[in-house]
Amino acid sequence: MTFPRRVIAGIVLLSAACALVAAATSVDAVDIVVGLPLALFLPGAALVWAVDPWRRQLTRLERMMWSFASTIGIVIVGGLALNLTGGLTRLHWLILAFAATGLCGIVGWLRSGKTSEGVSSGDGEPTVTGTAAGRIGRSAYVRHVTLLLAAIAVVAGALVVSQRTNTEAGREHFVQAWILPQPTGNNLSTRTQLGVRNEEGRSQVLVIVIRVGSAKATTSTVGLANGQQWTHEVLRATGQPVSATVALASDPTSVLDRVDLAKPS
Amino acid sequence: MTVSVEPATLGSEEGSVTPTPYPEAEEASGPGLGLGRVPELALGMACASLVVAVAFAGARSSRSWATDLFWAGQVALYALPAAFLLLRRSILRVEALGIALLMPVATFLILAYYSPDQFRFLDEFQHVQTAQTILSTHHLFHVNTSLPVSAQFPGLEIITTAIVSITHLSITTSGMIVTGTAHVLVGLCLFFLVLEMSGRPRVAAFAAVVYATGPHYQFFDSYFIYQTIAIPFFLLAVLATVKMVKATGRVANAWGVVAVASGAVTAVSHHITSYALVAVLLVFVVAQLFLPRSARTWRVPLVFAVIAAMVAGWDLGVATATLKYIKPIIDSLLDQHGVLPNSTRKGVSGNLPFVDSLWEYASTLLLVVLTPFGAWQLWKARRGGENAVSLGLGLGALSIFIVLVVRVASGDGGELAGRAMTFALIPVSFVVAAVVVGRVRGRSDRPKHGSRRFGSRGLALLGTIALVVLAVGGIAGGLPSYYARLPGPYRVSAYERSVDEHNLDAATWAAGKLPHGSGLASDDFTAALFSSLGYQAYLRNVAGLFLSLRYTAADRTLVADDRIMYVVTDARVTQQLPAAGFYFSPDPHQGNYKKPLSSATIGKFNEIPGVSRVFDDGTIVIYDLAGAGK
Repeated sequence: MTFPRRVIAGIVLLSAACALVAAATSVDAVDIVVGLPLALFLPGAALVWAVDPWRRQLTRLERMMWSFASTIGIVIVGGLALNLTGGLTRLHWLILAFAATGLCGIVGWLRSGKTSEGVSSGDGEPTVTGTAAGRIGRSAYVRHVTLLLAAIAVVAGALVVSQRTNTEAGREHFVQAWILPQPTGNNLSTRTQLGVRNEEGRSQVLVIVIRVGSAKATTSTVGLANGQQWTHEVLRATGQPVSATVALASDPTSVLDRVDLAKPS
Repeated sequence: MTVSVEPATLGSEEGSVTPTPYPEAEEASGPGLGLGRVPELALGMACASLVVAVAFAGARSSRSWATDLFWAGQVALYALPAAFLLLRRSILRVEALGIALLMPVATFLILAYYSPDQFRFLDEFQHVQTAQTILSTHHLFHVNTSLPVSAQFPGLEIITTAIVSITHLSITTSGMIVTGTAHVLVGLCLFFLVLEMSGRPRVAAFAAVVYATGPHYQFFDSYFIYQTIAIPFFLLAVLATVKMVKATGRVANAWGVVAVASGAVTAVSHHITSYALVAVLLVFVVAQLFLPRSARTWRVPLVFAVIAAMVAGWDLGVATATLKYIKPIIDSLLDQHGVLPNSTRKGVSGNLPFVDSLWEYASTLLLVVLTPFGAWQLWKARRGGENAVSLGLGLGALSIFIVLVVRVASGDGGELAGRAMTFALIPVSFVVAAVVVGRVRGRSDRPKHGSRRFGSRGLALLGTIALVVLAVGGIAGGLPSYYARLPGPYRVSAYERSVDEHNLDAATWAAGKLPHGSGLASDDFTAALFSSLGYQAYLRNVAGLFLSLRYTAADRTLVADDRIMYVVTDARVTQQLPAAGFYFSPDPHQGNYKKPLSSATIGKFNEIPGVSRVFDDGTIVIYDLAGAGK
């Protein structure tokens, strides 16, 4: 088998494996590992090998660039096609990615059957006249790897610093409250939804005071974890005003939020 | 050891522009992993980016040293590759390519450091809405309440939602992967484009670094906006055209097909970028007329015609909202109110501080001085084997003067010039790199890799300083504006600094609880978020509703005429002056605010009979005006 055919077969098999695993699993981490090459690299790589199986037009690094770019192009054009057919669903994306890779693979396979003229090695693998592999000094190799790992470590450290300081500085402490007629927009509705969401950054006990019309206020005490919400249906007569206040149980006199449904004028 | 010996080309003493083949073997040259000094450069640039990250961390806790540290990191980030390219006597191709790769990676990291887990620019959320709609409906071209034209150029959203669907990553993470990939592709495309034309890896890498000094390069061109995905395809189309021009027969035809395919992706991804591509191809067609008959090819006009037809077909047949979207931009371009001197200090968004203006003008001046030299060299070389693309880019570099005119003479000059620089800098970076490298390195490259004997040290230093001036000027005049250049606490009307948990959560709440497309009035930044993430209709020209201390008959008329259903108030407009100079769009008092709005301006909505206060989070309040009557 010629060198291009080996590569093309590898790309197609890898693509098939990624698509099958992605279709079979529902584990997010696995989906990321197999999904990103499918969506960003493999179809374009197959296209590049189909167009230029003997590597006459593009250098190795250019091929990498065109592989990424071609994949994005294939996905965009494929998305337009899917929009006209079955829609942009996950299954269709997996089929599209594999079909594009397979189609390009077939073309590349057919085009790389014979050893190309001008390629001297017996199996069709281009000869690299450089000196890299043979003359790599062990110390230089270790130095390069160490430096690259150090660069990655520095970037990782910078990202951790950014993530931590961003999270700490950007954290707001508040409680959302809302009241809406049900259905929303019908101000004469007798059913209303009162809602509260805790965004204080930790669990809180909230005191919610509800007043319907001129009736005596009712008080609810609700414990909510951070990010958790509480909704409550409040009934009223048509057009009757409803109001509510929210405060922390630890400081019930300090009202955080005040919402109301006014009587339509 | 195999070494890349760079021939002198454009800008050298003889000023010839002769594309030179570059053998594959050179990629594998150098000690260790065959990467030359790339690992050292990678570590150096990583450290420079770490300095910027620490500056951002300091800024988040309002440290006074943060700004100085930020500039130190930025200067190091640009000075390092520039000095390497200009001081080294010989450069391996892999080292040049490494710089072209590291530059976009490092600058994208800065964007990630600024906001590692959240989009920050308001325009990004407009495209988030399109992506959300695609994910929920599995189809394209649905209505976008915030930016209707966004849904008609869905390239960015298609690839992003494909990743979301396949990997189950969030839109934010997928979007960052896509924009990061696109950003890196831009650097690499430019490198290979210039390499194809000049044959000199050093010039190509320096061009990539010069391009990275653009005012929008670090942030705006990497945001989750449709232009970000279109720019690499613009460059790929130009690169394929160069390869087509240099090839013959079937190979040339194949590259022509690649150029058209890249143009097609550009056409469906972003309107302005596709127009820029058509314009560039037209310049190539015209440039051919100045070349000897033997250097002309029928393929260039054919590629131009096909891509122009595709762009026109898409915009007239599918993206029908484009003309309506473009018209205000053209109006802004022709706005006579911007003629000197009022607009001269107006940056991308708002008036720049004096020092920033100084840096911005210094960098522009440098480009304006250097560009004609390079263009002249290309013009002189037109009869010596030059091709249409090289000559076309040389001529295209003169577009810097058009940008300059727009910058000082247009009403919205700062923003328009910044946007235009993204495209003008492509040819400009080519000719400027050729001039600088040609002057500094001339033909003195020696086939002795790793030599410590530096030549032209003074000139190299000067070239490095010039590059740093370009970078500082670009950052000073670009986005984020000076008031949001470093991250920090919420600021009113400060673009990237005006997005926080309050308005993000409130907008998300609106998307889930309020009828989509309801007319909504608020300050510009809050309304923009409610429009994109909240799926509400952003109503402009509502400043009067907020500037009055009482709810007047005029306000009542405005509410009725504009069908305002909800009013959203953010209490912080009564506590802070607007960083960008305005609260509303448009704002009759833009640039003239001496104190924040009175609390009565937003408090009056509590007193209006029939108006309900349907949402409150202590800072943001949403009023339902439906019960207020006519």
